[in-house]
Amino acid sequence: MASGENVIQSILATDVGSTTTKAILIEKRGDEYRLITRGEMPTTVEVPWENVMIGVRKSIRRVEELLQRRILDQSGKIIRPKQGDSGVDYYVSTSSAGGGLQMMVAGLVREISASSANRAALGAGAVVLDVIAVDDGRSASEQITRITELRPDIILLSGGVDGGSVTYIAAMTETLIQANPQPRFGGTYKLPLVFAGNRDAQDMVLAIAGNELDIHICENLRPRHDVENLGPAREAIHDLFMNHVMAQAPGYGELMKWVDVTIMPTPGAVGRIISVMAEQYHANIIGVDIGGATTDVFSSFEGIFTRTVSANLGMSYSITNVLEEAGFDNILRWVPFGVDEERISDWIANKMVRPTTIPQTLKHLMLEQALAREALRLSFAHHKSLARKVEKEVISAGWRTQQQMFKSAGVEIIEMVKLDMLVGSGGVLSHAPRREQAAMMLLDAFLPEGITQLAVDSIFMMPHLGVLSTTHPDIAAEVFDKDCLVRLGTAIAPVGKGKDGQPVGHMKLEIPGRPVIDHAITYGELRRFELGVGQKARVTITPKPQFDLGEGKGKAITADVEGGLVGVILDARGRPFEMPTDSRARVKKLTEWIETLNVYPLEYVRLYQEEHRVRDVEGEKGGRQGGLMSKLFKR
Amino acid sequence: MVSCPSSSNGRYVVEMVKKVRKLPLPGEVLAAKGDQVEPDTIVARIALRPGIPWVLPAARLLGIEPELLSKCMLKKIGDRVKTKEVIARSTEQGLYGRKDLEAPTDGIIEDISDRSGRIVLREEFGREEPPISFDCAFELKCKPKDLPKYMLRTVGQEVKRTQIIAKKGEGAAFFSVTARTPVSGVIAEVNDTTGYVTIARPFKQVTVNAYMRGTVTEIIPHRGVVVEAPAVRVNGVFGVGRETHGPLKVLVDRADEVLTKDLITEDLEGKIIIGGAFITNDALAQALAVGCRGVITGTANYLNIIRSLGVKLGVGITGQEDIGTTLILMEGFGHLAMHEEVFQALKALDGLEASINGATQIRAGAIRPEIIVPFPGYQGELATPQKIDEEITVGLRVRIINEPYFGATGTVVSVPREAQAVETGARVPVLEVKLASGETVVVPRPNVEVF
Repeated sequence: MASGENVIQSILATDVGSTTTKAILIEKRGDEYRLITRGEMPTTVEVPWENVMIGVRKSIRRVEELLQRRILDQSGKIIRPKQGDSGVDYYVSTSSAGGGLQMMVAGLVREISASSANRAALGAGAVVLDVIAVDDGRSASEQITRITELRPDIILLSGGVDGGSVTYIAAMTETLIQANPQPRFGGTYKLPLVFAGNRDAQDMVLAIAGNELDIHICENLRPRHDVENLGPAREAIHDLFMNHVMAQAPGYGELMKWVDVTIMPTPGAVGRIISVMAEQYHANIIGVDIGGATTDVFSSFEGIFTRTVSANLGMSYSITNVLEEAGFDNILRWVPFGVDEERISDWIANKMVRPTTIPQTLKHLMLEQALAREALRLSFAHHKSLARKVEKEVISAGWRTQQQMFKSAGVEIIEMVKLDMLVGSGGVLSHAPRREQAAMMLLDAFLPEGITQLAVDSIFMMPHLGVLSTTHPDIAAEVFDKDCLVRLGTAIAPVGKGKDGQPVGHMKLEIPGRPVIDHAITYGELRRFELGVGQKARVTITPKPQFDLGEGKGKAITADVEGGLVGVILDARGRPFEMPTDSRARVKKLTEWIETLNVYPLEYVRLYQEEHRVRDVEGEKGGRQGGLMSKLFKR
Repeated sequence: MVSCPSSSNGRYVVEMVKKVRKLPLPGEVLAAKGDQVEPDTIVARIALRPGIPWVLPAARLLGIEPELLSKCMLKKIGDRVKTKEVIARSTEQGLYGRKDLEAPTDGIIEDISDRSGRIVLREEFGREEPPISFDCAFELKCKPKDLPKYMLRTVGQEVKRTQIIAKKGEGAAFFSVTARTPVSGVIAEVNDTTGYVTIARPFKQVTVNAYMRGTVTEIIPHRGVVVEAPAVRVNGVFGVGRETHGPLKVLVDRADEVLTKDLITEDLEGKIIIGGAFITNDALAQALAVGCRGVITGTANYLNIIRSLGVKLGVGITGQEDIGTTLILMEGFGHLAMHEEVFQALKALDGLEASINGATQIRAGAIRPEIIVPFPGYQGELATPQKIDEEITVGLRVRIINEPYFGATGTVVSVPREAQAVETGARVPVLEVKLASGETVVVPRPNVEVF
């Protein structure tokens, strides 16, 4: 590919999402590669179309329409290479339509090989249907019954350290065979199984299951207790995804012929670009991609990449599930006016049955963003519980042995105070009419602590750049930095609890060429300091003894912060964050925050507050956990 | 979203509807090619539902090496065995003679493994059996009210015969008391007043019926059949409940009429009732109480569906709910009139036998609920399903499917090339639509559907 790199002038990339298909055009202008334009159209995997290519062509036609130039020829094929002003040189695509990739994972020890295998599958962009392990609390017969019920696209089997015992792997493979698992898309092909376990067991797995399953051997993902090697298994899954899963979906055959690089699952591509970024910036990064059906959270903490997917939290197909899992109280706590639960639930349910619609009024935008906050919050909680790292195992005698062994199951790695950058992606964040809205959603859902940079994917092009980075990392990195990442600014959030109005500390903000800003931080406030894109400032904060900004309680911190479209946001609302329980106080606070950060046009907010008054009897809001069902069927 | 059965001559069009009726696992096909079938005709069944698999660590129980297991077997794969029947005997003479392995249950030997030394025995369930209750609290020597906290298995979980389901006390066997289940099944109830545990045995034969009246045109070996019939097919937007069938009964005169409780009378039991616009909460409860097989209407309230049907709709995948009445919404949620042409088509089908299915899957590979009215003797011309043209152009009739003009219909008067700002502040591709009321409004392109 290196030889062709010099001649590439124009790159077309598409992402076939579950809701929309997005096409972008990248071109060389002068010495640099830049994003030229972008077209978006509904995905056409469903009836009446049942062919993804219609959506792909329509999105490309949209690009043509915007640029007034031709990319597709008369027969609807891409003109390649670029001829004069028409056509492109290179075409890549990602996809998450067709329900994505669904996998079943099996391992030996739930906390060791099975959890590593789970991470490998998630990292490859899969939805994990179930994790089967010898010690998962189920008897062999229950496992057989369960495996029979599942209809995965691929099975990942792992277990055992290299050179270890093979007995249990044999038993697990037999359990799989006895269950006779069937692939999701009918029985025209053998169900693929990726074996990434003890290398001494490879022949045995082939011998036991070779006739029934399509076995693919790759390197052990846990060659030693203290070593995790997820890369090869992830690659093997990507290859199988293309050859087995995508090939079954309507229209993909044609798309596969079009592309210059194999189609990647969208989450896999986003994960790739996040890892590349973390490496480039030497930073701890959390990325989130909130889609129509699922929400993916990616983190790269101290060089360890983790991806989790919340399969049933999303903004269209799964939106009613957000309502059910979070409950009305948690969602409505973010809405600055009173709402009629019946009407709101109908609106949400209609969004589910008509997933491609978009909010037209500000009222519905505020509601959608309230739901997004909860979907993000729940997904992140899920991610935190799964993001673990394998620690070096120290074998020692006596009572400590058990303690050390426990560590081989991994320790949680996400520490919010150590987070350097939070990147949001997905329609609701990328397409938020004001960038302040995206910043608020990220702040409210993730509750960053200490000093954290906030950014969003400008127009949702991380998947495109992720797949492009597999062959042209330089172009991908250049476009990513210049056109993809929109820096919102930096959030500063002291950790600690206090009372409203109580002093939290003192902040000094030095912006080159401007007078120094001295600010006494009070508890409960949210403030914004202008600091433009590309500008840097030095901030010094001296917290009171019960507050912490990452250096320890009461310890002063000095840091260089980056500006952005929103600027520097001082979030002294307390960590852990609590919303006022009284409805009126809550609405007052929300309005205050909306005003400070200029989140929504205030005249509309006031209008809706007049129209939908907060009821006095609403009682407690916020805090309470628990789903909608528990509220409805309360005794 | 709604596939509309309009036609120039009549109110509905007849097309050839093909339904694949398949078992989840290989079984027996009962129908033959060319057979005329009714909705309830059973076309395929699994003679015996695969029961619970018992995995026996045979080599360990016999005290032999795993690789010797085959040599010790008295039965082979596929053999049917009875409880207490000796299925394997060790070759070695031990201190107390040779060890025997008895079958713990009736069933079929499915697998014998020399690698792991295990035998898989599939317990069979041939017929429906009544639930069994036993005094678990007595066996556990505890007070009934304490029973739930000692239970190891909870309601809804599958249990095998002689499995320990409750345990009192910790530590070694000497200090603890256990209770075992007398039969295999699913725990249906743990009663903390009487101390009884009920084990249900809902192991029915799995059968597949024809679902609609028609002709068997194809046999899928060991799996099922394809049933075909000339029929009118209408798709809704969202449904809840399983496949069912019954005569259609239209209860309202207009597409915008709300379906209220007083319209649903006792004599509608077993019928599929059709409303126009919204169904009130009371009316839905009444339809359930009366025993209507199905309800087809424009819209309903989301919270009410959850409450009165007791279902979870979170991820938008339905069709497996155990409710007596299948509900099909033609338009979605909130207050909205049914599409006039769809309503007229349904009205014209009043009194005819229909097969309906509430199954909905909104995610990719979408399944929408359907109403099929077969005309087995239809001789006229059959319509070919038309693919909808996806481009929105000036002059097209559209309906707005999101607030603030939700449900309004009109004609597209312009399709601006440039994106425009809407109230939210977002710049999106838009359409100008002249509403039926005469007003011209601007709406985002994704918020309309071709009418």
